[in-house]
Amino acid sequence: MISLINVNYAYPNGTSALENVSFHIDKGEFIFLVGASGAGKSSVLKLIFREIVAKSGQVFALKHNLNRMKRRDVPYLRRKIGVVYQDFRLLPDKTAGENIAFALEVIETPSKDIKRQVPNVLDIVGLKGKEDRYPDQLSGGEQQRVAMARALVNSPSLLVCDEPTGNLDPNTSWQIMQLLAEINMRGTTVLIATHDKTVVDRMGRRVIELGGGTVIRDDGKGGYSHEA
Amino acid sequence: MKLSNSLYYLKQAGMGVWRNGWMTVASITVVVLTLLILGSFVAINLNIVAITDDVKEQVEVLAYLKDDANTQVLRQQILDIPGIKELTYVSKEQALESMREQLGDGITEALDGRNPLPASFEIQSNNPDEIPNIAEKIQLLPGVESVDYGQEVVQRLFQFTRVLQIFGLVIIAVLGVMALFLIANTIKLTVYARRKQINIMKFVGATDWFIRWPFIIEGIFLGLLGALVTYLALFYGYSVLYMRASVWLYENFLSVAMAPPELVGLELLKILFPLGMGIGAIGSGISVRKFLKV
Repeated sequence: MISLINVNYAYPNGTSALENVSFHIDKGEFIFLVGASGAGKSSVLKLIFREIVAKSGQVFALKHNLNRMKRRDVPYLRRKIGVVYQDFRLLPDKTAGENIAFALEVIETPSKDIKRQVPNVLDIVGLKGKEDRYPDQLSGGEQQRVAMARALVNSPSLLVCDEPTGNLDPNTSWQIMQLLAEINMRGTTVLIATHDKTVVDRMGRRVIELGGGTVIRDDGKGGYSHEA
Repeated sequence: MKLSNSLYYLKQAGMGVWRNGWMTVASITVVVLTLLILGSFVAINLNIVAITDDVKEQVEVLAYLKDDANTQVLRQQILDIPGIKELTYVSKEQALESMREQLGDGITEALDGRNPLPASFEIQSNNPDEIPNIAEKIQLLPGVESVDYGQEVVQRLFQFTRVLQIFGLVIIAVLGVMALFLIANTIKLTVYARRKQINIMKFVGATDWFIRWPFIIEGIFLGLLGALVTYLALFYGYSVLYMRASVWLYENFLSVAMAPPELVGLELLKILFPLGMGIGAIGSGISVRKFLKV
């Protein structure tokens, strides 16, 4: 599903962000990407999402060689990768349902498919009956569920989450994690970059830890760190 | 572009135009100014072409003959030069007669029965551009005293046109760039207001062109509106000017034909609308570029 092979990346200002990073993620896995701020988590996610291109080494995602991918093919890659951000990124002047529908509209999905898919996905994330609420009428956890619904509505094979619980309280965070686990159970590969030590420890899934731009640990069933 | 998409693009573009209010007005104004100056130059240029053509048509070579010239031989020699259309002989008497008509009877008395005027040939050419060559050849024929033609007038007109054209191009280029950036800035307001939307569109996998179209359409619309205002103003203005000027030329016995409003209008149509739309499209393309690099 995803392979990084000896990847190096430097910020535009020349500072090295990733050095010789390699790991492999199989279809159906549930992985945490952990590490301190600046360890390179975001860069890894951006590489997979083809926001940036590796300086050297190989990046494969969903059977595509991202180093060689043409700019005009990037949108089609992204349609197969759902993404959830810490700050939800919902449009405030659109309802929950409209926010999800928007993601389908802009990739030119026929409206009859949109009408069918939106209630389905709202049901999956546990927001049945709240599709007419605006983001400011929803709690943080609910807003993140809308964002997740939007990421899932096009049935992506990979879900990438960048600090999905960063703005949520521990209880809500846990619920979101449960939801992510559930989504994973349905067959979606889930990759979560996070700081949230408690959550990572409790889930007991594979952990890839980055430090100073390199992989310092890749544990099948690890906690946030060895000391934990 | 699919039909369902086109409707979406148009709606988004319309919202942009409406929301930006004054910036929309400002950028249309600059487009109008640019096109107005361009359009004026087009109109002036068309007239210069019309007038020079007219003047050129009227240009003829006057060959003044020596008193002892053999007019029969000379006539044949001139007719042998390629490009001659018509040849009229004006005798010394006829020349004096026409002078008397212009200046009054007093002139014959003043000359005291003598006639200092030379006989001449008035020569018309098939091709006005050949006039200098023809004149040169006639000059060399025996019995020809001197040759005269209106080439200087034509040459001066041409020079004037050329200077005007260069001057016009420079001004149009400067204003065009200004219009481009004002449109880019106007569209940038829309783009900026919708940067969150654009960002979401990018990460859910909308294509760049899907994102770009509404802005391009908004830009084209601004350009089109500018072109339309300019066209109406110039066409109306020129028609009025044409009528006034024609009357004035007629009253002053000047047989110069201005370019008719229909011709000028057609030329303006062909130039203003594509240019306005082009400026609009390019301007908005510039402003969206930055936001698509995600």
